Amino acid sequence: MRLFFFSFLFLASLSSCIEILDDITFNADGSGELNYTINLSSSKLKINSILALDTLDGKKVPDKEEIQEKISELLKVLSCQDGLSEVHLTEDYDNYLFKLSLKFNKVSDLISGVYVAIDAVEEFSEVEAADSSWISWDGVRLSRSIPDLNAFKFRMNNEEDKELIKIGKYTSISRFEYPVDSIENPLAVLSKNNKAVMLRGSMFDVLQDPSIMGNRISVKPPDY
Amino acid sequence: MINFKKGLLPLFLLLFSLSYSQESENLIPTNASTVFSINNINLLQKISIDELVAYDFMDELHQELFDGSTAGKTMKDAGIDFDQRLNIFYGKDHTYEVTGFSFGVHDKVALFEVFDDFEFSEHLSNGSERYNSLFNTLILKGTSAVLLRLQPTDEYLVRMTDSLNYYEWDTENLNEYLDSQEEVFEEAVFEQVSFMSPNDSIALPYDLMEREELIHTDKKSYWEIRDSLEYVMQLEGMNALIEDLIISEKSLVTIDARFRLQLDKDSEGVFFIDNSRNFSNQGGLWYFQTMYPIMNADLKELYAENHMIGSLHLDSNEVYFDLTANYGDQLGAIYTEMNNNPLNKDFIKYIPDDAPAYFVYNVDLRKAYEKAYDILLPMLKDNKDNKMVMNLLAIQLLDKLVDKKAIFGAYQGGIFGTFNGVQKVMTKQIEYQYDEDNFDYSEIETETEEDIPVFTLGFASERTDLCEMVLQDLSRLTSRIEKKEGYWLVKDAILESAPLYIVCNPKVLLISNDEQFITSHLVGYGKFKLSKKKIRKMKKAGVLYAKLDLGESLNQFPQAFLDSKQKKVLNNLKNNSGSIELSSQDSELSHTLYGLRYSFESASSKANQFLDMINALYILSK
Repeated sequence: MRLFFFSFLFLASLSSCIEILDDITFNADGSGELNYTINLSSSKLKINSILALDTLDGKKVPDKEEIQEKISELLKVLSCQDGLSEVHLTEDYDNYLFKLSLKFNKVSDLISGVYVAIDAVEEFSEVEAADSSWISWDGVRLSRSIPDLNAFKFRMNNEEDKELIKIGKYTSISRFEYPVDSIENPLAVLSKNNKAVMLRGSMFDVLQDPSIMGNRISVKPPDY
Repeated sequence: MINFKKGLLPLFLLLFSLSYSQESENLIPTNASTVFSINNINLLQKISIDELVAYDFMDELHQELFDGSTAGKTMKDAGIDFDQRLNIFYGKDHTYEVTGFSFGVHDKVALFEVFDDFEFSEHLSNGSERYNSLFNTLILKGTSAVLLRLQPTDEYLVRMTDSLNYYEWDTENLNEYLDSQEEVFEEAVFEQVSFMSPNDSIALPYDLMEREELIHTDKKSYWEIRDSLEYVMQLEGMNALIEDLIISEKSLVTIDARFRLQLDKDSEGVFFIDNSRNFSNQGGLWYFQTMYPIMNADLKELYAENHMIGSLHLDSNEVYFDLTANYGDQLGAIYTEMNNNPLNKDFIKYIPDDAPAYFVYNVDLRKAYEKAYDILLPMLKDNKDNKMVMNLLAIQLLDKLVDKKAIFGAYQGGIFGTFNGVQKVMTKQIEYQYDEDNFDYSEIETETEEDIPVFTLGFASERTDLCEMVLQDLSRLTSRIEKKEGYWLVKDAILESAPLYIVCNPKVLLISNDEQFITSHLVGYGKFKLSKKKIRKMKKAGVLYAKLDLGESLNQFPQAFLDSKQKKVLNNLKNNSGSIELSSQDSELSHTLYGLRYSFESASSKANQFLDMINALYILSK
């Protein structure tokens, strides 16, 4: 997930108004599916204008081809990881909408796969892969948080940037095979079918305090 | 009487030279290529130090001054002598970048209450005092002082660091050392890749530099070496600068008569940019310098006398800036051909009287090309370099074979632009709708409004039929290009969101995103065109005329469309109202005169307006 996110570091950090949607399905056998969406469509005019520049704040602005190349490189690395399968990425450069989906055998496969992939890409090696425990799942109990987005150095140079970040949203959905038994985070909402938990926060709040997206959820498997 | 004269004259000369040597302008380093010298600093008495250090020209020195010691203090409180000039300077060569300012001191105690991070370092051999802080050096010489910051350029520092084989000092034991460390390295790598599949063919999670750093854990890393180099370079560079400027008393004033003359001007401030040094030392010409060192030397000769001088005058509600761009005869010959043309009348009808900003640039590229060809070719022909000979041959063949009349007829060089305000465009965005039963979601497309600048650009052309032909063919390839009545429509051409209109009128090729212009003023603005008074002003100007209504243009212009330098200038001027007018006179063989008039209607003080303007010029010239 971090890897995917890092790929859009440049675009996202410039655009300020960003919506992230992470949607993870946790199966009882420990496997699962990740769907991670970054939606920059509300900033596309700004992104287009920035991409038209050679440099911004003294740094080179990559062109679309360079960004595409980097993303495909990262995707290749991610596809090679043990325990990960069906890695797909949809890129929509008209709307700046990017969707990553993959299946994992175990949560640890997801974490380690992402970790190796990040380290394999030189540019990102300086980013700490410290949040290796952002997620744990034993088939009944889930403990999860989100990566610290502050690593992406979002542009908050002025009030205008801050306002845009406040409009941005982070949505985290956890899905289960069995009904949810308990939820620790009082801000989380349970779906009517009792099998999905949603947590939403503004990007600004999430950047200020990533722990607000943390949650512990337990499910109630059927008695055999 | 004669004896009296004999006795007094040397004394008078001595006193004169002493007083002369103590002026702040004598503390400007020789490698400063851009200098702003404010003569009337009485004007700035009430400016607070906090306000002053917030300007970009103080940026490099900012962190140490803006630390609380300046709170509530004005320039007057800082012990600054208002009878001396305040000189702000900047210079960059291949090795160093120097920034700083020099000023007069009337109260040393008060000065160090503001400059409280500086600690006394030493008395220099001529009695001057040196003070250091973490980044900067302050020299007190008589009643003047100079604050200096010297940084090695990034390019030079990287090149120096890269050139160092930094483990060579250990060559005797290097192989033995590498062998012993290889095991440590392999173990470390094994730990990192242990969770990867043996069949994976991905790159190992380290690079060569990390490997070297891992092996030489007890040696300095690349970055430590670079830091050390930077420190030593700063130290040595600063010592050399002090030796030159303070001990040997070699300053820009002593080596450059042009700058000395400029200082004599009776104006609130003067401005000096040595383009000959900017040309050779600052970006953009590395290619020439590397590939064609001799050609670069030849071009350097062409630019040798190229410098700009200017004076800033302050009136009750106006800052006037006159600037002279000086150059040598050869460049002057090219400029006179290129620049001295009458106003293109075909442009005028496309500039509305109420445009918040517009410019006209009247150049004739054909005439400039012919002159440049005549001048540059003999200069470069002396060169026997293979690549240069081949390039020159290609240039000459092109000159003989290509139809220059057709080329320069298609693009004559003249250009005008108008900024017609901002308009809202609808852009689509994606939103998500969630099903409360299971939180499944679907994407929906919604529309949102965004601001984009509305502009029209016009290019002088005798052959707009060529553009018509190109668009005709392209329109067969894509449905985004459509022929309309009197113009071409390119859909979603601007940032994938707004249409662009191309008008191939006789003599002017127009590109615009202004829907109103296209629908109502395709053949000109008629009675809404520029007023006669404004046209007269434009006609009087030479090659360049530009007018900008601050309130209606800067405050409206969407910043997302600007680069960081332009954004800085815009933000600094943004809260002001009034207008800026830039005009030139005809080019002469040795110089072209430009004038920039900034009329303000602002609540802030004259001094602020003055500094705003200096700041804008500083950013643009840096």
